Amino acid sequence: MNAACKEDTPDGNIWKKLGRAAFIIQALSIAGIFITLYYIISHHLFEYNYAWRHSSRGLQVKYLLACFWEGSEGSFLLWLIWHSVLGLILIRTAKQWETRVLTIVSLAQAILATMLLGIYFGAEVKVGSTPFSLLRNEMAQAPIFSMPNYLEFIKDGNGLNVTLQNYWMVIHPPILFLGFALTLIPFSYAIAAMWKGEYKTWVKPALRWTLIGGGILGTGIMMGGAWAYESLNFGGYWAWDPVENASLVPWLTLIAGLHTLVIYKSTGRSLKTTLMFFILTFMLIWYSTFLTRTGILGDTSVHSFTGEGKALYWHLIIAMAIYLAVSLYFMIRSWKKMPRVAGEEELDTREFWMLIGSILLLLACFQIIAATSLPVWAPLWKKITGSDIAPPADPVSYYNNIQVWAAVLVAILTGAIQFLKYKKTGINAFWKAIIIISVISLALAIALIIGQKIEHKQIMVFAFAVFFALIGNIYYLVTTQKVKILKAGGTIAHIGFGLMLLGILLSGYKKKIISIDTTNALLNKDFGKKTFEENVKESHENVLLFRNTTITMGKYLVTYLGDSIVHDDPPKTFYKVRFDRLNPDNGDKEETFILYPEAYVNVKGQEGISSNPDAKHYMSHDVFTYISSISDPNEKSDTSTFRPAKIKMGDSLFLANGFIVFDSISKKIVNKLYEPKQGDVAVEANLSVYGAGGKLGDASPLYIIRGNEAGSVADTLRDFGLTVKINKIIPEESAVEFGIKQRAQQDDWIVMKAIVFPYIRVLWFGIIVMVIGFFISWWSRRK
Amino acid sequence: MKKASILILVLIATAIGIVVGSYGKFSTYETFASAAEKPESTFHVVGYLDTTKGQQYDPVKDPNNFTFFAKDKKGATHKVIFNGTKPQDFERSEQLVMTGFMKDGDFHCSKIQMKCPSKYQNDQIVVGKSTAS
Repeated sequence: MNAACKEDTPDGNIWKKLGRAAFIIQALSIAGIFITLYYIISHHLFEYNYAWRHSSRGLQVKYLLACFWEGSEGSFLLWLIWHSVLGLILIRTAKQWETRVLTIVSLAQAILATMLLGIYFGAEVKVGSTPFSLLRNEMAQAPIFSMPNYLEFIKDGNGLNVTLQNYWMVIHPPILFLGFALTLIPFSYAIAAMWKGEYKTWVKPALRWTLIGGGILGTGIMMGGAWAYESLNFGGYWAWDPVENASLVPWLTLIAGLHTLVIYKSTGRSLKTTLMFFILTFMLIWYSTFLTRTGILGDTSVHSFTGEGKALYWHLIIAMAIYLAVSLYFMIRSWKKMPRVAGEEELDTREFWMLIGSILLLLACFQIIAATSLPVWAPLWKKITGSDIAPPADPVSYYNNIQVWAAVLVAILTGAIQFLKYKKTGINAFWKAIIIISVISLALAIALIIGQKIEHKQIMVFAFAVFFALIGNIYYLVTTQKVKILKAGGTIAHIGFGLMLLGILLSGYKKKIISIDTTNALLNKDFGKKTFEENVKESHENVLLFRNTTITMGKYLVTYLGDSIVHDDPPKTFYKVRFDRLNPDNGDKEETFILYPEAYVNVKGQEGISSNPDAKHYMSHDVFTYISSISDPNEKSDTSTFRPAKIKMGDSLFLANGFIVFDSISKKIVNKLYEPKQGDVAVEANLSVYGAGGKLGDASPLYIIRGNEAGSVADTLRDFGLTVKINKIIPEESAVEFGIKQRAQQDDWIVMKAIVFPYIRVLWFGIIVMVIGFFISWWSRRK
Repeated sequence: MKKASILILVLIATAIGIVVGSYGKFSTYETFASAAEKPESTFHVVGYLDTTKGQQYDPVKDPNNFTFFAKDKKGATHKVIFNGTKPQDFERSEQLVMTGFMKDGDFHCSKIQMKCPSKYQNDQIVVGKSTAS
């Protein structure tokens, strides 16, 4: 069904028509598979392994799509769909390049389709993995499958991992895979150009496809970052996790290729470099698939998609070998015939420095991918040196410390290059602009360094470079381009890039964990090593909060108020945490907000909690909080009995952490739990409840005489863990005997973490501006 | 050679220099015994949770202190002190990668990476009571 592969030869209309028809048929087949699989998931046909493994009945409709691409097969399918869509567009638009480009697209499509075959050759060799395999075949050893009616026992699927139940996970994979699929098009054009031996007319379509590819892939990566940020699984938006690196690196090479293609278009230089960048980008996409899907990353990645193992490992190696062979064949064949411009680039030309910038990007990529691929080369390394190498103990600072220099150089080039001209430059005008920009940037950088109290030298340099990129591009936009937006896609993308770097600088440098456990910090002296400085902080990032107790965190007083359960499937628990900000001078409350971090407690046989954070967003910063541990809900002394207590009207009674005052008795009923009936005699006691910080609320238990029976309706103050009922009324003493139940506070606590991320919006805004820049360039080059 | 080529070569040389220079930042996988030989440095130790011995996590006393026993690949069992909360699904882990250092026979670690049967899926069949659906 899905192996619709075809070969079309460049000559002859009939072959072309045949090829088109075949491609359309395969596109329809792919769409058919997609719809079928979606039907299986959405109708909970748990007979199928895929539906059972990735979905469950209680799952909300919006997450059904997320189930679809949770598994390896579904995401390959998604990739196939985008390839078909792009192929169909190319059939309409590619004109004289159609035959060759589509041949390459079809080749890639055919190779990708084999990933879903799921055919066995002999007992050992399995090619691909089909999403339609039945559960009974996947788990043949399980005893229940020996019963013919086994389906009656399988009521529900495994469900979607709770950390993936996030709206970003619905939208992020399709965009990312569209970005992956889009890298195929510049690759196809590059191969097609070498095949045809014609290096002129491919530039324009390739440039536009590269622009849109850069925009979409960038958006996809950003959405992944946004998910990581909001679910806080990585402690921020970027953790240099191999999975993140694997998608960043092809994007960087694509961007490098974009720039060298622009050089080629304007000067005729850098053709070979461009072709190599496009080939490299496409290869890296497959290499990243190899890294993330085969489980080779093993211990080094937080979220490698394991599963397929050996079969996929060789499958992907063969796929990459085929691409490499095709690329090398055409590269070698046409190497000598490619047009060259005589002479070397001059140092004062735009093309020279753009090439330098692209090579810098490539070198940055090389460092990232070399370090990320550690598990790939570590076995070889062990054979040579005998040492069993592991990733850096602190990968984030390892990458940051190196990549900050790449970012500095690229940012400065970004700010400076457009003042140079292609081929020959009036160098004086260039220096004039550079001096103006440098002075402004230096002033801004110094202001920032003082304002933000930046201490590290490299961050100071970085601050200057970032402002240089920003000011340089804004200056260029205003003075040279006269703010003609449609012409300035590139400049806008560069401004976005500068803003993004600024966001990285501000949010990364000033990220602050405010939930530092100061009471225990002194006890664990063992962690006070120099090399472990960060870990000392790490070790005390969690704070224990009993219900209704308050702890100072940064500028806030934080109080845990209690929990409540939402009976979704699986049930979700919310924890109510109040943040108060006081005026440091007079102690007035300036601001109060409540966050509801949530957690799934003991879901589906798992032990412990998986928690989702909640955040308060400001223009300048975000306050995040999440639950890292909770008291065992079963051990809460909620079932404790009512303790009798006689209180006279106007008197008070002390409780564990506060007191109640019996104000009055009245016949006016406010308790909402009471449903009045004819002939009832009902009275209500009014009690005020006070905690350490003042009045917490009112409790209004009820006493009812209905016919011959006396009954009572209790009232509960959840936040206080207090339940009050009336046992009996003693009119002669004007007193009431209450039954009082209070959940012991020491049994009800949370361990939480709170983090302040400053200026994260600058980062998001920068990326959005950058993507808009890509689309403006793409749009303005449509003719 | 031309100026441009020299500049590019210098650039590449610097980059390689930086990458090689950063080599020292890489850690190594060790056993408890080999980590104990260099008590000042941080290593990765691969091991397994020893379920026969007890674990201790009492957040009321200290929310950032979780101790357990782990067996390394050579079979040596040591007490591990982790300065954080007890990770989710800890008992189900098949393998642990712990980052930290040895001191006085205990392994102090600040990061634990667990390898679970499958990171994003769990292969337990939830069987319902037998009434036909």
